[in-house]
Amino acid sequence: MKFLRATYHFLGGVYFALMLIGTVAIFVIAGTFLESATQSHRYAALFTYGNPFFGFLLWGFFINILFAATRRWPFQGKHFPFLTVHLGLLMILGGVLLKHYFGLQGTMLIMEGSGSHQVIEPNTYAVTVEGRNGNSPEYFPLDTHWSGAFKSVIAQRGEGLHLRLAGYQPHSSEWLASWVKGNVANISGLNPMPMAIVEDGMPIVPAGRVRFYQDAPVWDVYSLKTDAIDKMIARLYQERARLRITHRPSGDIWHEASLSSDEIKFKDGSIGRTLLTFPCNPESGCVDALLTLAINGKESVSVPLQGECALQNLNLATPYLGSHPLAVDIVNTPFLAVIENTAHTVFLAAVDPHGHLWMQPFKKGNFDSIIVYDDGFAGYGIATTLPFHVFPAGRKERETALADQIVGQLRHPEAEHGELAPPLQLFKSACQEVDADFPEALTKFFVLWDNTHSWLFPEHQTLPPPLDAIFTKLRWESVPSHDWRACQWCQRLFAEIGPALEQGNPPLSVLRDARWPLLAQLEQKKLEDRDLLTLLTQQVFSAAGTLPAPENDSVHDENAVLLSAYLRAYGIHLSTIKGTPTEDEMQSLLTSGNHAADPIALETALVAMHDPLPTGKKLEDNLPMITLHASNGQRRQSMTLSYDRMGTGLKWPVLNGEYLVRFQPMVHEIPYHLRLRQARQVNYANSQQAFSYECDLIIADHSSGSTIEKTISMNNVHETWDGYRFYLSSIAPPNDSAVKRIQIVVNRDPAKYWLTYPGAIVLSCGIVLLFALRPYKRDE
Amino acid sequence: MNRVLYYLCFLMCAASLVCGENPFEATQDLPVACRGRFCSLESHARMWLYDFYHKQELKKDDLRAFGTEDRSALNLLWEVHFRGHHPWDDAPLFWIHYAKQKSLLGLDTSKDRFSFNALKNKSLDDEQLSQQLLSFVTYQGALAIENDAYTQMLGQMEIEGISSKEIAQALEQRFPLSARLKGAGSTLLMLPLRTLRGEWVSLHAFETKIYDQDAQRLVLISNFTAFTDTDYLRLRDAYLVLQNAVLSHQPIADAALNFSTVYSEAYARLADRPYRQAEGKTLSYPSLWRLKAETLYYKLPLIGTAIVAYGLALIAMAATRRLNGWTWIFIGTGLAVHTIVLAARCYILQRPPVSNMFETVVYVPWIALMTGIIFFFISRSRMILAAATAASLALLVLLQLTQVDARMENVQAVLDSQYWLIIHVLMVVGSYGAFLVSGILGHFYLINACLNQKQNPSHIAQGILHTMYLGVALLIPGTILGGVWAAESWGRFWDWDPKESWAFITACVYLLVIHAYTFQRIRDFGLAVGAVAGMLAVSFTWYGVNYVLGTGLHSYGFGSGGELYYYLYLAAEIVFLVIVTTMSTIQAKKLLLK
Repeated sequence: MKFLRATYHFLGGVYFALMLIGTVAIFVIAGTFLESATQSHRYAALFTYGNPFFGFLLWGFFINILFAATRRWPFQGKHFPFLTVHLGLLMILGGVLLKHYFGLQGTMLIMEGSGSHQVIEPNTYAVTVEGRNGNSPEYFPLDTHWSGAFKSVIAQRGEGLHLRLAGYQPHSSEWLASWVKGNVANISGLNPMPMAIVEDGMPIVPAGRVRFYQDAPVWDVYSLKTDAIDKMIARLYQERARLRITHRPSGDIWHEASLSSDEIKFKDGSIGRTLLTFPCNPESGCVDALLTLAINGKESVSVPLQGECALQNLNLATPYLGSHPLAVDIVNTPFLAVIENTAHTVFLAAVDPHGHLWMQPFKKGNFDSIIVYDDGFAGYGIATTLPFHVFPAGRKERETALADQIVGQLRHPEAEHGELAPPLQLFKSACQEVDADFPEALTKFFVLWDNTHSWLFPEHQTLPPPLDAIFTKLRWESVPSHDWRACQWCQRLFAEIGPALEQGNPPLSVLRDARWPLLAQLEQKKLEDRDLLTLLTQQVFSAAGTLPAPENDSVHDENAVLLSAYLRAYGIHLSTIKGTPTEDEMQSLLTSGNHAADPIALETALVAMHDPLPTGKKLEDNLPMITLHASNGQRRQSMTLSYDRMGTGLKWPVLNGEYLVRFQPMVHEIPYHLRLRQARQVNYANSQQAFSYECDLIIADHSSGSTIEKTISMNNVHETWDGYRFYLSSIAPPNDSAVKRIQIVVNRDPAKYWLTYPGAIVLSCGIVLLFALRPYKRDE
Repeated sequence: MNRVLYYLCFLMCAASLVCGENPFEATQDLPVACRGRFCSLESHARMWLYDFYHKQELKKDDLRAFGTEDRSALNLLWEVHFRGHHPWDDAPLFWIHYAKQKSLLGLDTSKDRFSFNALKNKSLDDEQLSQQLLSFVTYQGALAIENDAYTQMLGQMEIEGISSKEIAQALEQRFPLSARLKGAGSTLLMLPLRTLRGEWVSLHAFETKIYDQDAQRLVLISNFTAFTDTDYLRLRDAYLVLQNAVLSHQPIADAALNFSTVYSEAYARLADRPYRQAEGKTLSYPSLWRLKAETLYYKLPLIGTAIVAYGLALIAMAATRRLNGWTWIFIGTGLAVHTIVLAARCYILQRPPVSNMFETVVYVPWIALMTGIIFFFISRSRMILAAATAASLALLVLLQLTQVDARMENVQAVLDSQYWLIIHVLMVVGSYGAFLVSGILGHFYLINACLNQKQNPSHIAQGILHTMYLGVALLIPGTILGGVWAAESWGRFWDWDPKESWAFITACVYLLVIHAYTFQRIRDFGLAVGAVAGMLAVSFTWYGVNYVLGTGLHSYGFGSGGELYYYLYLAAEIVFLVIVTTMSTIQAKKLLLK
């Protein structure tokens, strides 16, 4: 009894109080420095605030405060401030403990337009299991022994599902593997292909072959591992491609051989050389792959191998004169390559029979969209589409498609009935006279003119009969006389300077040599060559009124030349009106003249890959991983799952697709359904600093069936009649770049109104009383 | 003594008369958008210069390099606005403090400020400095807009003979008007857009020209502002006159005065009107009085005056054995000016002045002095008043020496609760003031106890206990009410966040001392040691958590700088405690032997 009494007095005494205060203070100091050093609140809590010993200390406080008060029995008036303070402390401590054991603290993630009634309890672990029967998923918490270790049995339901914990790793990484799983490339419908590592000098052997369409060429399929994506693609491309160079004006093939960097001697004595470049980076693969033809050391034609201008010939030497006289084509044995680098980024690369390169990166576990098979019970996959068709889509077909696009644009009602530029109106009138189709005839003339490689249509170039008939009907008398005269002067001017321009000499130097009187004005403008020549033509038109009539009026076979001058004065040429369709638009242009054919689609299954990692000190960043043994009496299966912090990731099929499982926090269902109508961040003026975060919620009460609309914001929460409180915690993204997702903190504290808050008031009053009633007077 | 009074009066009045030569002085009270607020042009100019130059006005030694005779930031800002950055490319505008950084960049380590030309080709690791250089380059001045991409594209299309309707469409598509207005300049955002309430654009937007498809030429933009059409035209004319005066080196003052008058009349229709609504709260444009108050706040040397007054009060207290009238005049003057600083910030920012380090360092000494005055009248102890005055003086001097960022800022959304901000923050930060007085009294006691063994200064111990109790009475309920705020606003009462933890630790230290003293486990000497130790805990809660630990949920108060000096202070206090404890022990043994 004496011992008990002594213990009672000790536990309620000042020494015990001083020991407790000092020890707790030291613990908390250590906690703050640990947290600062590791930037991890959980790490600090593990050793301090969350440590069982700290819990004992808090209980010690509770006992000390309680006994210190009861020791004063029978109470006297002078004890009132002291008792008030200690009662307040007890109430607060009691409230916090009750909230800990019986309250709710969790988060909800809601996207705009969607809703939820599930609260995720952070830092808890559970396995969620969903069956095919359509019932709600079940959550099986990972229970712990008193020592803190997890119990091995997770779920056991008689003859049904049996889940057992076979392994636990505190930290891991998880990613979704797609086209390459481990050392094997997988494309649905093809045999698995081992990934080959090719060294310099070693031949590259295809891992398989595939024919995507009947009667179409066979494609080789490669599966390779390398970090030098550019070298690999260049090598594959170069080994399989043939180069064909055609002389446009004559239509003769001047060169056809394997693609190499050797010199090419052309019929006209010029020397050509090709250069193939594949600019690649480890994230997006090759972009802007390019074949360049240099003639006599000067870059003359470039052929993009990718993108919206793929396979089109771009005239680098004399772009103002339209197409280059030499056309470059590629003839290729098609192939598909699955290439993986050491960062596990997989690149799918394909080259069609015309040398068109397509490449798509698939970053490690990062996909724009996935395919869900049978609601996930049959797994997941991804797909991609090659932009290639069964019909030809080479350079010629693309040029034809672009011409067809111009025809289509000219047929547009706005172009057909709208006001045309005078030269076009002149040509249209002639077409109407001979009953020719204006859009087709004009486009044909443009293409013909473009292939002549001259500023104006050449004087003695033969026109095909239908066009010839149209040009004979051009009514120049309907054109203002000074325009007509200007066209004639233009013909003479460019007859003089044209050959020099066609040789690739810079227009300004040509004009300087020709002593053009208005040169200063042209030099002052600092224009591109095409604009400069347009301005030159316009100068002739401006000055035409002051010029005498040319000596010989044109005859009708020069009408094409004169019309081309008239068109140039208005800046109209195939190169200026030709559209630049996107890759999809080009596909649709190419498809329009052909039989519809499905594009080539590739598909592969997704597999979750896991790597155990050493535990970091910032515990918040750790991603625990478990290995499960699942059985249902007939089948057994082991599988590894990484922790899904928010419980929003994929559920994985187990036991031959009978169940879906996911490793996630515990989920608590509340009797309220929250639907997010809109979330917004209101900023201060001229600033990205938030003035207010707010969201409009529709809150449905399951028990009463009532629904209310409520806007909540920071410092402005919603509390239900039964104590559930909803706090807006965060909004992402802060702008309107995507659909917003909010995090709502859900809290239910059963003790705050009758213990915690009153305790705070009692304690505050007690401290004021201690001060006001001269508590500093020493206890005698 | 009369001379000192004259000096004080002179200080109060002189500031309002300085910068009288500044030709742009008439514009000082005009509103300008800055960092999410609308502040007076004077305060904006000072803070703008401070960002680059680390001073609110030019140093006399640098006037020649800046090509001016006026030290005013406002003058420089207007000049930069009109002339662009080029005339100041060789002026020592950029402040670099650390010698290591200067030597790494190959700069003269004896200097602190360097020109744009001296820095532009250096590879800078300092992100803040890089950003400053980048923003400096954006100051293109007037007429930069003449040859912009818009004009070039128009010229190109005119050559191509495109119809005026198509030109107008293509230009609008390529250069949307709202983007052009926003990109008109980065200086002097003084024009409120009509379409986007609360968004202001640079005065350079007045110079924006748009293509008129009927006239087929570029014309000056018509009214795009929230001002009336008449006001807009008057204001634009006044602005262009001012611009012309500056660029042609004509007298500026009249043009500036005219611009200021016209702008004030136009703005008067917007002043005090709300421009942004959020759930349960509104943002309004500042009134003209608030803008004037802000200008005065920055121009008057208020903190300096308070420091002088408190310093004189301490001298007066030390010089005489009894408190005389002069002491009260000095304390009263200091307290009045000190109160004006806090009240001005409350009025200008429309919130309690306790949401950043500068404001708390002003608020704590005010509370300390109030504590000292109240306890003086209760206990008639001069030491308490002296300690409170010393605490206030020390903190305000520290504030001036460390150049803590004094700019006025918007409160963060998370703190935007006037009710709880007042209850929780004012109480907790207020407790620091009481603890500070307690700590300084502790120092007085310990020094006195060591130097003068025969007289036991028990009245100081009583003062320590009084102030300690007041501090605890503010700290513990304030912290618990902070928990209630957290529970009400974010859903959890307590989370052992470092700021919470250190408030708890501070409370523990004081509870330990109070319990030990109350139950006679320590005496007056121990109480004084406890007061000093408690003050160290308070300093860590206040400064250490934000500047040393730098982690946790109270991140809005975080900062950096001065850690070394803080460690030195801690070390000095510990050495002090060790010395006085040792001396006391030795003397106690001597007494015992006797």
